[in-house]
Amino acid sequence: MIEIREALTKKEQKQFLEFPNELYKDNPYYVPPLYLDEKKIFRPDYVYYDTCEAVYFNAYKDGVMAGRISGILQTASNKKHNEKRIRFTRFDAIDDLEVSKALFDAVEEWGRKKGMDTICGPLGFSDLEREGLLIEGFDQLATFEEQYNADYYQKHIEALGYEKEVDWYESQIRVPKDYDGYFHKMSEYIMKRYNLHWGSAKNINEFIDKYLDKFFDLLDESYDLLYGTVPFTDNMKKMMLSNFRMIIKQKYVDAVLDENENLVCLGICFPALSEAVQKSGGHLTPPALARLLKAINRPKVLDFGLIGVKKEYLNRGVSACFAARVIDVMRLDKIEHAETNLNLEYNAAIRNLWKRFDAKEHKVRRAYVKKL
Amino acid sequence: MLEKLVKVLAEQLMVDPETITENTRIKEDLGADSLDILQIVMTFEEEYGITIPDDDLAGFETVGDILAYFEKNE
Repeated sequence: MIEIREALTKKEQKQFLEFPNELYKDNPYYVPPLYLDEKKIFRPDYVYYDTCEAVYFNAYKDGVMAGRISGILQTASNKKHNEKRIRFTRFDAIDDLEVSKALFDAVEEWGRKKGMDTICGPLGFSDLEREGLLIEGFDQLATFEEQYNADYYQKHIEALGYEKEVDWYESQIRVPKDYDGYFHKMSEYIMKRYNLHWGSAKNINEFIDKYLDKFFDLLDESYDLLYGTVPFTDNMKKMMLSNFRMIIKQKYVDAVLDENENLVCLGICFPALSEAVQKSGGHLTPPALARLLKAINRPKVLDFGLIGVKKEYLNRGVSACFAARVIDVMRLDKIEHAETNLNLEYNAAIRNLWKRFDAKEHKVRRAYVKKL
Repeated sequence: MLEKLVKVLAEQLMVDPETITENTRIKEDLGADSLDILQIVMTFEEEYGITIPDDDLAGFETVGDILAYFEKNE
């Protein structure tokens, strides 16, 4: 017998949070989120609740936890796009279509009661959260920034009437063995052509203080039309800045300024934390903290985080300047490879950029949509 | 000039030069993105000692457009 319960008690919320760790305990590709961070979704003052409502459901089969799902009413996104949508996220379930159906029925009914007419997902509170159902690349290690799911999820979701809305592609990139200096030459040319220069700071805190506030404005501008994005609120910015100070190293961030010291482009890479987080199931035990510190200070892999480009510079090749810096850093720090994370399928410019590296498109993710 | 232009385009965009005519569209037919176009611009600027402003780049839709530009500014 399948029972759906809203996760309201401490025990139910713990079950909700722990379920994917249990489901994927023998899966070498799954990377949990930090438990302390995830727990915050149940706090009434959670950073996103100034623009969102959310609901969290557990599914029990014969009394045993069998799945979970969350629904989000992202009012900022609905206002931006003039839509009546809810999002589904944090869907995980055993390989039982009836369990999946019960979970989706619950979240869809919640959406209808809220007066919404469409459901899409998996999408988080913002595109800074884990999003996109993995549909290819099940044998690839997830990055810390993204979710992992089993291959049967696609079958279940499509059997429940969901259709593709958009795909994302992810690449693993390496510096080409026979790299001919292409990006460095282009970078020099572009910087000179447009009278640009690199920003500077004594340390990461100064860098953050100097540029990050303007960076969020830049992101809002450059991500405005991208699928699933919402404008940054002050609370979101505070949360991100606090996270950045913990894990970002100065050599993995860069800012490009124009002749008037205005921010034109800023890019952030993160040291890959996947393996460090995996071993402790997302819990920050002392050994986990030690592993995290090692991963932050001596990464073997970089995860591409965010890049924002001022609109008028979008077709001016500024990304090539960052590509040159990435190559420098990967060589200097003997970084094995970089993970690009999610790139929208229609973002031809960025996907072409990676093809100029030794690149492999190794994962595909999908956002689904369905009328309620 | 056309021959030179075709050679540069074929090399940089890794296409068969035989397929390039004056009517060939740089983006749609040759698959060039903005970085490719800048690289082509850079090549010609270096070769001919000229500067091609961004405003003029907007008119570079076909091979013929680029050819006409260079012939006009020779």
